[in-house]
Amino acid sequence: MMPALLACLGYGLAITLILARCAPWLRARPERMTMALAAACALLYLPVAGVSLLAVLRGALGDLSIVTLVFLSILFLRRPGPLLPHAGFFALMGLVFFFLSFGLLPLDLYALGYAAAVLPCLTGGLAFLLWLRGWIASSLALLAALAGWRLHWLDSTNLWDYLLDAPLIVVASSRAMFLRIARKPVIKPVIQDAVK
Amino acid sequence: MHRYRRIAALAGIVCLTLWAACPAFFAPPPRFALPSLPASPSEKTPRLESALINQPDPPRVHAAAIAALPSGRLFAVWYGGLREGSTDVKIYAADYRHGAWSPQRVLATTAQTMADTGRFTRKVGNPVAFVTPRGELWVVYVSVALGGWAASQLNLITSPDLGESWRPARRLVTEPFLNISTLVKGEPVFFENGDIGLPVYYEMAGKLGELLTLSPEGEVRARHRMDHGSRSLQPVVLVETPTRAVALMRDGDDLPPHRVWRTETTDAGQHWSALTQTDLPNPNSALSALRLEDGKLLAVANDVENERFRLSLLMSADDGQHWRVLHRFEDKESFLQDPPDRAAFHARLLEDLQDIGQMPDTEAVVRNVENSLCETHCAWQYDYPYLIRSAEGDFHLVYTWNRGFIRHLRFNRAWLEERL
Repeated sequence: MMPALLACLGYGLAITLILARCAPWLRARPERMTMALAAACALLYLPVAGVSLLAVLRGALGDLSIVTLVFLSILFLRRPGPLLPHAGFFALMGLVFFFLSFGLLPLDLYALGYAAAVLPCLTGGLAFLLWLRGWIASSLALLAALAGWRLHWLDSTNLWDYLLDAPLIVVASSRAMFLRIARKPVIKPVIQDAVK
Repeated sequence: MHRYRRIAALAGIVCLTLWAACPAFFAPPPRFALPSLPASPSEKTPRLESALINQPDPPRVHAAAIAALPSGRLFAVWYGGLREGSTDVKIYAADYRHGAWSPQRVLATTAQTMADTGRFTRKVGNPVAFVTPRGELWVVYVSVALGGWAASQLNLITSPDLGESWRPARRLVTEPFLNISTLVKGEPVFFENGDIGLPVYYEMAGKLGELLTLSPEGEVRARHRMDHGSRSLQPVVLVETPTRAVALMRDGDDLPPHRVWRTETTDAGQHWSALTQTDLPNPNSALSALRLEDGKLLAVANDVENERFRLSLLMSADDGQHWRVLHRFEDKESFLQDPPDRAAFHARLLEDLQDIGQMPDTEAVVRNVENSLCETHCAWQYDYPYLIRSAEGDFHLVYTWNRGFIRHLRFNRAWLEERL
């Protein structure tokens, strides 16, 4: 029950935020956003040809991680800010992690996410550092993932599934690439300086 | 005040981390439970019995598994449909009671799996059935949402009353990337703490065997890879001591020589040695094996390099490194050089059916087999063996017989000893 509700909330939030990007008037008033979220959740349960959109998303993409859920919730509750903090970190982490999961190398990071103490301790340590540096939202996301894993909020028993998911990595990679392109220094033509 | 709040928050983070990590600090190292020894054989007369378990509809069946239940009962599962991988495929089951197989029944469907798990499912396949240390009957089967078999996911259904009623299916999350590519074929092993070691395999980017540890409640507790790269599939784990086991794997490598792979563990499946090739040929086909009470290994496999026309019973006295043939259950090598025309195939099929035992209507069997095997030319096929030993000491083998039927062979220790 809990995994299905969280999946509905996560995909509902994602749809609502995409809609808000396309239609800025939705953002203007919180009650509009709440209504849009309710409509998105209802849409997810609407059966089309016997299958709901939520079942298709859960079947094809799986459940969203707790970290993604926290980020989506924060984005939903506040005015538009940075789309995803630490996008580069998440992108790099996710790409390395997913590549290792293909089994081509002897290292299996995913196995650490079951009952070993290493990954929870690393996650807690990272949350600690992020809190110290003032990245409260990211720290809270990691702590929620730890708590969710221990309380078994999702179908998975692997901590990695509470920390990362494929849609998060896709968004983080796109965001990291976008930021890299946006930050690219503009080379001013020499002739311009000469004219000055 | 601000400083105290900050210290309290950081202390909270430390406490939360310790609370999340603490179960791992107290987990004892796993130990295999040794398989219980079967009753000493009282029957001195060699016995080999045969039957076709399934009905002619659906026409294509595959990947059978069998579990021994109390009181001499058996429970077999397989999947069937119009063709392998079609969306009409269902998981079927049948019971063996009072000396005969019951009519087949549907155990799981795509629609039911979708309703139970709340996730889109397009097709189902490969089931494995077993009785857990707690005495429940479990069936793990694969399902696919998008793509082919390589994108499979695992589902678990459990029965508290040995097949009379079933709880809803649950999806097992075993892979990080969209939870795709975990398939099941081999018989499970058990741990002393009641956990279940389920041999599974990954075949998306790489091809490798894995041992999945499930709790008695059916939650995934651990996953240990037996290899890396792209060469081994469908592990069969054979326990020797509480910490030592050998695993044999189907050859999934493109490069010859095609041989069964072997690996071993000395820490109850936590780590596995580098793979070595045995001398048992393998045509990229599943095998099944078990360990006898004297430590020797008994296997059923297609012991040829590139076809599945032969299915043999083999024995190894050196933990799976070298094998010798004890018996050929099926062998159509004589047709390899000279493939039979339809008439010759038909005649030989009727001949085979004479000692097949319990089976559906002969005409329907012949029709199904010929439709399955004679598309361009006729070729025999016997594959996907699954071998177990019941508490009474009898051996039970099920396998796909000519793509259209599940054959059950039952033999006793006296029959085996005649061939040693």
